[in-house]
Amino acid sequence: MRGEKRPVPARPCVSRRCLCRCPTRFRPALLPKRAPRLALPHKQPRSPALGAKMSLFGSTSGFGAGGTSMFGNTATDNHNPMKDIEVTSPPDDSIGCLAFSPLALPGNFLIAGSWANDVRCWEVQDNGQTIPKAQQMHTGPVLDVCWSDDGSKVFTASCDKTAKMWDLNSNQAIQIAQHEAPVKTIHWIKAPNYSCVMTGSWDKTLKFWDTRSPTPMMTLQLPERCYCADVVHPMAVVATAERGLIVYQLENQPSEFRRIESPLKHQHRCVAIFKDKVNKPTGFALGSIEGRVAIHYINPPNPAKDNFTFKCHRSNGTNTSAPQDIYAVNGIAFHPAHGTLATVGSDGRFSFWDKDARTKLKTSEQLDQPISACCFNHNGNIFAYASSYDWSKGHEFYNPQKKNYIFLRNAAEELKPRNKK
Amino acid sequence: MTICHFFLQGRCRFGERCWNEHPRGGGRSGPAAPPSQGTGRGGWGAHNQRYTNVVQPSNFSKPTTWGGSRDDGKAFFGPSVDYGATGSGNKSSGFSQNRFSALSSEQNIGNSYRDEEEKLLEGIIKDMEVWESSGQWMFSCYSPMKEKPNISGFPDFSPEELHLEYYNCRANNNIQNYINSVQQLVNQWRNRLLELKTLNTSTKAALVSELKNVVSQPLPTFGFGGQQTSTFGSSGFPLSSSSNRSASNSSFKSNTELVSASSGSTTAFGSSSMVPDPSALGVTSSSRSATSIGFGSQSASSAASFSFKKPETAGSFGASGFSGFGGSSAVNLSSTTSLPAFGAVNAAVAAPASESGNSLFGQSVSAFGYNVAPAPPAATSIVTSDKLFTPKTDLSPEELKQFEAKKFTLGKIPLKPPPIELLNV
Repeated sequence: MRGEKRPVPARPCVSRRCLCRCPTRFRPALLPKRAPRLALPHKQPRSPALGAKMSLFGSTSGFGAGGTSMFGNTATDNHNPMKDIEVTSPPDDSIGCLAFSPLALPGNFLIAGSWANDVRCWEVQDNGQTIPKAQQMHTGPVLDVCWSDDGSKVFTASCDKTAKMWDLNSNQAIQIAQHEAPVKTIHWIKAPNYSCVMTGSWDKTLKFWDTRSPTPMMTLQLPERCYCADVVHPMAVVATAERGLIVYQLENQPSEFRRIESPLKHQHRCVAIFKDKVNKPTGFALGSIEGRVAIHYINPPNPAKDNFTFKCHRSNGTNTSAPQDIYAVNGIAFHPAHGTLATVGSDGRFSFWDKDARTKLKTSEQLDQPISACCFNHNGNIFAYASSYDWSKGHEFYNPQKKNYIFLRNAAEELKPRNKK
Repeated sequence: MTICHFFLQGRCRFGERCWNEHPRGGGRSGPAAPPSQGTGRGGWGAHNQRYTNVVQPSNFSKPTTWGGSRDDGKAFFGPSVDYGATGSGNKSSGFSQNRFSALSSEQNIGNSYRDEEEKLLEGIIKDMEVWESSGQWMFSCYSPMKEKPNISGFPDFSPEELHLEYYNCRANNNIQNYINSVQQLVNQWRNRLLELKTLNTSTKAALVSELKNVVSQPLPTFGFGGQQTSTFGSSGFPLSSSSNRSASNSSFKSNTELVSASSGSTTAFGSSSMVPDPSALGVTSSSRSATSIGFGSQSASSAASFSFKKPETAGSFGASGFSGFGGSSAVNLSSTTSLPAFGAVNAAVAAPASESGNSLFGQSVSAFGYNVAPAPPAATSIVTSDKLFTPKTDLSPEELKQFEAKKFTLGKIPLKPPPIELLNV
């Protein structure tokens, strides 16, 4: 330019490996440009597993007849545009939570809690077949489930203000916790010197339970109703109503570590802790109802630079200022090996993101129902997401006849982080 | 040197590093992120290219709170990345419009930093517009900026709570009840939204004082975070529909109590910052509280949990009356003087200790209570009361002992404020 010093790039570099020092460091993710997937009419339900499972319906546990209408799918519905594996005999009402078994348990077992007051367990085999194994009931909708670290017990939290411990070997469930309001979150804490169950409830308390005793080991007050929580030892994060956000440290005994100003403007909906390269929890991702996720590090070297928020689950209002539709982020899950994250939203899509490269890896096609929950299995090969109504549009859009699904997707490849060079 | 014509258009990619001259006073360039920051201005560069003839400086009237021309390195909400290669054109174009707006009007020349308040207000207006048009969840709290407290009038309800209410009503066969309550909540939301969208002077004044009340003051003995936001009549009182009347009556009462209290209170606890324009707030809250309605589901615990007022005749006030990070529910006041002790102890810390007996915060409560620094800006919502200090005679001997001791012992922390005699300020 004018015989001056360095060449000015004529356009920002779009190559991933661009070494030029142009100011635009972040490029949109370079996915190969494929033709957009058309919503082809469904020929037949794809899952071959279903055929084999017909015989199992009659034989195993009482899942009820709700699941058998799988084959009645019409040709033009969009309930599985991603052609993922459907879990057999899914719950009859909205699915609130999903959890895969931990590493200690050989094989993969999936637990789902639903608004039909039940908790169901499936075994997921390597060929994709899902075998319903057992179920337990509460007297209210089940809002959260988690596994113990050895994989022998499942803890379930419900709107009936109790939490139960389900021993899978004996198929017995006993109540281990009591609150004064529905229990929204439940997590198992395994510390070197103690282990307990942490329950967060809408009665604004966080209680820690030794499963053998009817009184809590500890109760911590929250500023507001607990909306979501996550635990990765020795850190726990609880997000409450009115944009409350508290971090706890769990060494020795749980104590409040810091209260954080919420990086989001609206109601918190889901939270997930991520770890750094040496497997220590170092921050969390917080999702709100406003289609936005905030990545927040606990002790970053440069907070203004390291913490950021990104928009997701919004309809792309094309070009002009046509208002977009904004959907809530219903769940966030981090891939256990790659550290990349998945978000699911009320728009019926899931997306994979790489927070270090700050790029999006993939967005799914739109399902016909919101995706209400998601989780990864212990090694990150399977990504499970539940398609069911999350009440994001009120009771008018609630259709009790609509089927709810849980899909399983092979996540080993799609969640590899982008090499940022 | 040559004048950088990209800078004049507001899209110089090199910012401070640019080797051409950036004339100051010719307008500021919008993008305030120097390349070295490497902030996630995602599709920024790419989208810049799409702007061939769009940015005419005179088109834009007001800057907004997004980015703007502030180089202080503190972007709101951290750098906001707009992900998504393809379709994000809209959002980032909206973004860039806002960025460039700093360029725009002559008002900006020579006055790079608009009044922060006005920025906030404009941001609020914009957010309200988006909220209304985007179909996002209505019953959510809202705050215009990261450090600010929640704006009053937006109670927080999660979809699960409404879902559960519906199921309960369905079980009792009174779905109509549910529908009515939801309808009222929706109307309330809409009214508040309109209020905020079309800011007239009184709402403006109320808002501004609300937002300004987040002042951090180190308080003498008790080390409160000093954050008080007086969200009068705030956060819709969740009431079961039957108890609507009595609740709104008492909330009225509490407002007047509060108003008179705040005018008369001493300033030892920095409570003076709590006095917003009473009349304005009285007005707005009165219009709101009459219609506030909510679900009575989370009520029972209010006795145990410190953050609410004790349940009144109206029963369930529970849940969202309390904005954890600074919004205080005026509702708190309508109970007896024992409750105003709310102000005495760092709210979230000690209270349950005496109630439930085993609330621990890992370190001694006094450490938490006395430390101003770690207390986040909006940590405690201190509600003034008619009396800030209890007279010595009102305290039980054990409470007196606690006050006289050097440190509070966990489990015995008094709920009432200390007697004035014992304070060494």
